[in-house]
Amino acid sequence: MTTELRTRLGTPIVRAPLPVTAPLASLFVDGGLVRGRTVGCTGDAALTTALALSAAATRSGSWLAVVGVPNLGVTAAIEAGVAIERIVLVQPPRASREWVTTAAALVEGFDVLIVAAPPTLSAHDARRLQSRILARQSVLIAVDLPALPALGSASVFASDLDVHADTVSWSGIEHGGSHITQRTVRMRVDGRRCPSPREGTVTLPCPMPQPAS
Amino acid sequence: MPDAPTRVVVVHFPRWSEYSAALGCSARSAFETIVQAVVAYAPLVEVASPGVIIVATRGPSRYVGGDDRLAGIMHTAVHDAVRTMIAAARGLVVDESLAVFGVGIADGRLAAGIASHHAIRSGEPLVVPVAASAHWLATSSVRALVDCVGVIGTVGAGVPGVGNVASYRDIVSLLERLGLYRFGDVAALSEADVIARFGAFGRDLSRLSRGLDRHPPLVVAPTPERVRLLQFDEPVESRDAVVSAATGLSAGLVDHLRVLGLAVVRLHILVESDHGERTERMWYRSDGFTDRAIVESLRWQLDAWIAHAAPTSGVVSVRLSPEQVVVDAGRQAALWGGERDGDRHAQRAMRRIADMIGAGSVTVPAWRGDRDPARSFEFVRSDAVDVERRTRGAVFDAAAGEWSGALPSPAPTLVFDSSSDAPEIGVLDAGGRCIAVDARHAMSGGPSVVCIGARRYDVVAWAGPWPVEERWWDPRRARRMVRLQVLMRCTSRGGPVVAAIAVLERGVWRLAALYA
Repeated sequence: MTTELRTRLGTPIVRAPLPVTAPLASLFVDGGLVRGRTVGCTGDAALTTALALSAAATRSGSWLAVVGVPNLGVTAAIEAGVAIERIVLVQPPRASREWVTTAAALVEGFDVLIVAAPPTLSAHDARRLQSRILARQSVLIAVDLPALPALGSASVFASDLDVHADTVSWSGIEHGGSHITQRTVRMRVDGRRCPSPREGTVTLPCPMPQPAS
Repeated sequence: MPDAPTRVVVVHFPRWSEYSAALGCSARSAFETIVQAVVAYAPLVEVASPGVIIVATRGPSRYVGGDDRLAGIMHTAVHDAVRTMIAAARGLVVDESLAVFGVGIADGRLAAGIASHHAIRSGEPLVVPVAASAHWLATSSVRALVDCVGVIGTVGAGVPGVGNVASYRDIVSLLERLGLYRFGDVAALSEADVIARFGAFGRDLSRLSRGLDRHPPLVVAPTPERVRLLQFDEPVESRDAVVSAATGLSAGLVDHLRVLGLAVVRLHILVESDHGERTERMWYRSDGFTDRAIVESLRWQLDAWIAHAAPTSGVVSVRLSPEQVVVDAGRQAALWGGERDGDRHAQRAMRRIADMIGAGSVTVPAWRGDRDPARSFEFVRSDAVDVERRTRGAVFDAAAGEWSGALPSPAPTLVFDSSSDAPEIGVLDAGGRCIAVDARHAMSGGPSVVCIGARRYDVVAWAGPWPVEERWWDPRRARRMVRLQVLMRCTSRGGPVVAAIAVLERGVWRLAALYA
């Protein structure tokens, strides 16, 4: 019966995962960001990681919406390799329902969404956004920014993958001299869609291969 | 018929999207109240964008007895409509200064747009006498181009030789660097020279500066085969059904013109119901209508009609008549051919969101250049730039990014404008005293503790202080500050090490950036 249905309906169209920059790709079982999933980014390097994860996708033509992140450092996004002409910043109203309606409308046109949830966001509304992400085959990257008190936690989303990124060392900075030249981040990828947790150490910002032109 | 500009009246609300956002409704639907007030005196209006109405004065002026009277009537009507809206929004505290508007009449869209801007300041409608526009325009600053984007349309085709010039801001900056501060200066140059420097837009710029419209007026009526008529056998009640039926119609029209190498810039859309009710509106798009743009305009027009005139029966006919076509200067491939599906979907989503939450909340970053990380990019409203063009040219030139005194790489991911919204912090030495920096940029002690709000952080390492002195030659705009890059660990939680930039200006330490 099932096989008959399957032959009649044909195999579902599975779109290839969105690409991820080389040093990060090895941390993902599928080699990239599987469409329709929610990725939760936590740790002190959460935003840097989120930008690094979306960089390769924007280079290959996907659009990125950064939703509800105030004061984004655009230069950091460029350093992470994000194609700046395909990034749009959106500040939705902070009420849960309006916030989710706006984000859900964005899903229609954007392959990747980096979101910082407002504290008012209810788990129910978060789930509605996730089901839209699943239906539209986009990728939602929820970032945790505890440094900004006006934002809520990324844990309101039931994420498929959790990326925990903590800086283990900052190089270049001393007592007065030089400046930060690089940060080494330990990343741990686990979650319910990850059969076995993977860990790796990455230096950020990671060098991006320049486009051929 | 001579190449004379069309005399128009422009009603301009410069801060409409903020105002409608404050009212809590969409910019388009809220604006219909104003449009209806104008339609009472001039049936054929053109809504260039939410906030801008343009009407040809010829008929209405003659009807009410002169331009001055028309301007007065329009001003009163719009003023009353705004009053009604504010009265209807009981309980909402709305900043009324957001609803400022101006009414201007002049020959040509640019002159009328500038007149409306003068009118905003004075609060009275401004009428530029007939045939005096070119002279009047000559003394206006070229910066008015930026304010009048809603009236004269976007830049459209690119400007070769000067990199990616996607906005009037770039053009104005270029003009000023060339020493052309007023439209009179540009008009004094020969058209050929302006075209040589500014490419396809140069022709438009030269025409605008001389007080003409971007496109010469239409001399003959549109040929019948270009007018597209769609008639339904049965009245159609659903708006979406009308729109989807018109999709093929608009594609047919655009394709027909494209084969001839033409593009429609001014389009008249007429929709009639079974009971003879009708809605007609003029639409203008300086860089030519795509079939999607026509459908979008039709949808807008139908929405407005349903909301305000409440037609009593279904739609029986839709007519698209191109009132003005121009030779498409060979940019079709770039405009329509080279675009990906993803770009189109993203733009459609952006437009929809901008309509929902106000265009000011949907922004794209544009390189400006500054040593302050919060100011090196400005966030441009997505409706003020041609996003389509952005995807084709490099928006950010890496070489241009090197400002002396800018923060070294890696850049912080969260930045706060150190002159306004950066939170105040305390940077203390081992003895608990606030650290001061003397005239020779020497610190009074090594930083040991940073207090952000109620949290205390132990400083692990620091770099700096880096002095920044800006515009020391101008006492009003001069800034003098020092930056300190600190690595710190939260004392109470034993959490990870956080990197931040602290800035000391006028004796106050502020948090300028975080490496999140």
